[in-house]
Amino acid sequence: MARKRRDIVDNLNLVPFIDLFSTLIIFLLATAVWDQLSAVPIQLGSTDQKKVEMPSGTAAAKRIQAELKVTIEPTSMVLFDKGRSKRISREEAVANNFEAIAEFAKEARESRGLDKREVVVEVSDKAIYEDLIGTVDQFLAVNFDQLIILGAM
Amino acid sequence: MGIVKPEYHLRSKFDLPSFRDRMLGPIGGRKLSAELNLTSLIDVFSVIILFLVSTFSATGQILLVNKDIKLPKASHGYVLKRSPIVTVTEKGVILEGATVGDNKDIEEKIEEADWALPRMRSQLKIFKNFFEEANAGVPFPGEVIIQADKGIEFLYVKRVMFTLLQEGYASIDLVVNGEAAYRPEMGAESDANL
Repeated sequence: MARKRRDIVDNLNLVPFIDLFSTLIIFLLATAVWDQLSAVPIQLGSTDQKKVEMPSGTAAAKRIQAELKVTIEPTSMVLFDKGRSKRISREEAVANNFEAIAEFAKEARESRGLDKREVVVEVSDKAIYEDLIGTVDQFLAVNFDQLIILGAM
Repeated sequence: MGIVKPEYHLRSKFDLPSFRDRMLGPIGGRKLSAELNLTSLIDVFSVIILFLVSTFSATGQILLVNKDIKLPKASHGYVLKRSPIVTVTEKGVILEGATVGDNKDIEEKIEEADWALPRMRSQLKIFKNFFEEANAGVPFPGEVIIQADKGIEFLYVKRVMFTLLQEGYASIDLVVNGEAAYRPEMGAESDANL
């Protein structure tokens, strides 16, 4: 009597695999973070509505030590380093992603061997917030990471 | 002409019962294979999972961006840390989801001797007290997160900063759009790259 041959099942059952994949996809989609956000850290000096006053505390001490300063105005920004200054128009700064600021800061560091990381950023009331961020971002790019913000009229 | 019962409008050759009969019929019938080819589906699933896993963030979303705000872009930002969140718009100031100030006629208010936001100050005081009670002996870090629209005038942000400073919040993270380039502990390492 011949033995009855059984059929060989040659295909995998993919249903549990697909179930697992679907669950994983739903979980990962639900917990996904789509906005890539980061922070630009600053220290407050004085934001008095009258012309800058010397505040008390650490920020004030840093302000005295800081050798680099930038003033942000609505239509331009002025960079100050010991004995030299540079004015950049807003259009020019925005056009090259504020990179002129990083270049100025880098030059200051290289020419005078600056080892400090403080910069005083003075911002006028009518200045655009985006300009402040662009400026601060460029200082961070060249490792001036202690940024003291001062408000001025 | 009498009433005609509606039937398939397609020729019987193409309708489903005829098709089934033809496939399974005794004369010239073929075995009907009902299996789907799942290979391409699994390929797509695998790609989606790889993408989602690579973008997965264990820390989650620290803050929700206000719908009225378009954040400025920056490429050298730091990783966000959890602190009280202040949202500044042209309409008003929101602290941790609650409106604490109105920015109407801000240009006139600037002439006032004290233009701090009283409701914001009292709320900040509560946060500060809570921190000091929960972390006895730990110096108050005075950290806060500010999110503001990229096109706003600095005056609006300045008023908030002025209020923050009065309550001892001097360390501020300005939220920007863009992936974090640095972590705080990377400072020394990035010095070497200069």
